[in-house]
Amino acid sequence: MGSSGERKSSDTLRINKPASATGDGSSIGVSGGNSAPSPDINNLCPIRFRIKLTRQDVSVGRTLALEGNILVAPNIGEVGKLNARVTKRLETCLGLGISYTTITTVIDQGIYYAEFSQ
Amino acid sequence: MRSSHNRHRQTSLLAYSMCDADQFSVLIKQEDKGLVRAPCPGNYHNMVDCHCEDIQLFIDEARGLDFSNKRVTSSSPLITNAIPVIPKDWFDRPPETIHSNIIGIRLGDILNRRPYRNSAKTLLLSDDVLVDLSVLKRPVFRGKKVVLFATGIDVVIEKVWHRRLTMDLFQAIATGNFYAVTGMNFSLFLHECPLGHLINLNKSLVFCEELSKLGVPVIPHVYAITDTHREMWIKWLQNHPNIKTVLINTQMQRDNASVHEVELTVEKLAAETDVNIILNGRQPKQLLNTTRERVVISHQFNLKNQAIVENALVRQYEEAAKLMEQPRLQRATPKLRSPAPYLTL
Repeated sequence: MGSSGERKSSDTLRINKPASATGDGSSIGVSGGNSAPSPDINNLCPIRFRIKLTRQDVSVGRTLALEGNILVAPNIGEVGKLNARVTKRLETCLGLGISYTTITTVIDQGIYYAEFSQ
Repeated sequence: MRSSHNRHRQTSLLAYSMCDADQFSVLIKQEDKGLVRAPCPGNYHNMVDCHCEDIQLFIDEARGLDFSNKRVTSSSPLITNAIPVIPKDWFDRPPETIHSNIIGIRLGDILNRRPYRNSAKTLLLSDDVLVDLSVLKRPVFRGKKVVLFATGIDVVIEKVWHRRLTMDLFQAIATGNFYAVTGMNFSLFLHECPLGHLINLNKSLVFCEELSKLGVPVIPHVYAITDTHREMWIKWLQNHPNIKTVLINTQMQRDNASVHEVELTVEKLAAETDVNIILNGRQPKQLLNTTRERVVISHQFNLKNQAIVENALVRQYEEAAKLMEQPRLQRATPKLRSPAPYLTL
């Protein structure tokens, strides 16, 4: 949104790939053609999302590992579990070349979450 | 001579090896690469860069990196006075409450969906977003010339851009009979990939070009954070004498380096073109007086804050009225104050 030095942390997104060529020789996806854009990748694979943890005694900022669909904290063990919908989402995103490289614990209004970040 | 290159001279020489942008265009100079401070990540986050594997798709989408093939033929009004951008709290007020004959509205106000936050507070916008011009029928817009400021946060403008065909964006805007529509403010952040910068600048011009084809008066949005950008804009504007006014969104320019770039851009535009310059947001303090005459300010002029105060007073009145209807409760009656008169601009 700006031409400054720093972005707003909430205003982060992944730029979608342009619609495919229209085949009519015109510019891609701007003035004509019938190619529908692919769904917004941000709604499927948001830059960040959170999963509520089952254990509430994990220190904030701690890095978590994902083993199958189990969230594991070093020296603690299982701290949460992904449901089928989230697991499917991660698989789909991975298939699109998008992986969540960082999983950390955050606390919001007294509730502990695992925050997945691309 | 003041310039970005002088200002950023001390930027790491390592930057030359961090960015491969000059492989894509002769428009990208070595000194532009020298402003890059970190290796281009190629992760598509908020901007594409020279390390994105399918970058050519984005270059093609922007119809190339040169401005010269972007032709804006529609008229462009000369804006000479401040434009109040009307917050939605004011939409139902009488048009006489705003003296200005020309008023502004934001892109987000003509969309049927607003951004929402997911569990990690990241903003998202629904896929079924559409242009909804019904807002223009609200009282404050009656008899006014309305400028659409097609600017906003990245989440909104990138989404609208991505879905422009599906939502028939340009035709939908054209039916609004706006006095003018500004270009979109695709982000240009300091020290990022110069190729990504050029793509975003060209996307903004393509937006204007498409509206121009439909006869919509446009006000190009001029972001420039390097001398190269400024030179490109000057050349393009000199070839487009029909453009009388340009816009620079300055709402995010909070640090000195960013403000400095705005000053350089405004001064160069004033010196080498005939355009007036709308600054939407903050106004740099160090503009020359001769330049200042060509600068028009546009923001909400505290209208939003005033609306909040007035709405609070109205609620206070309503609560007091309810208490008056219940005398037996013998509650203390709050001290009433007259609502502030409407601000006129």
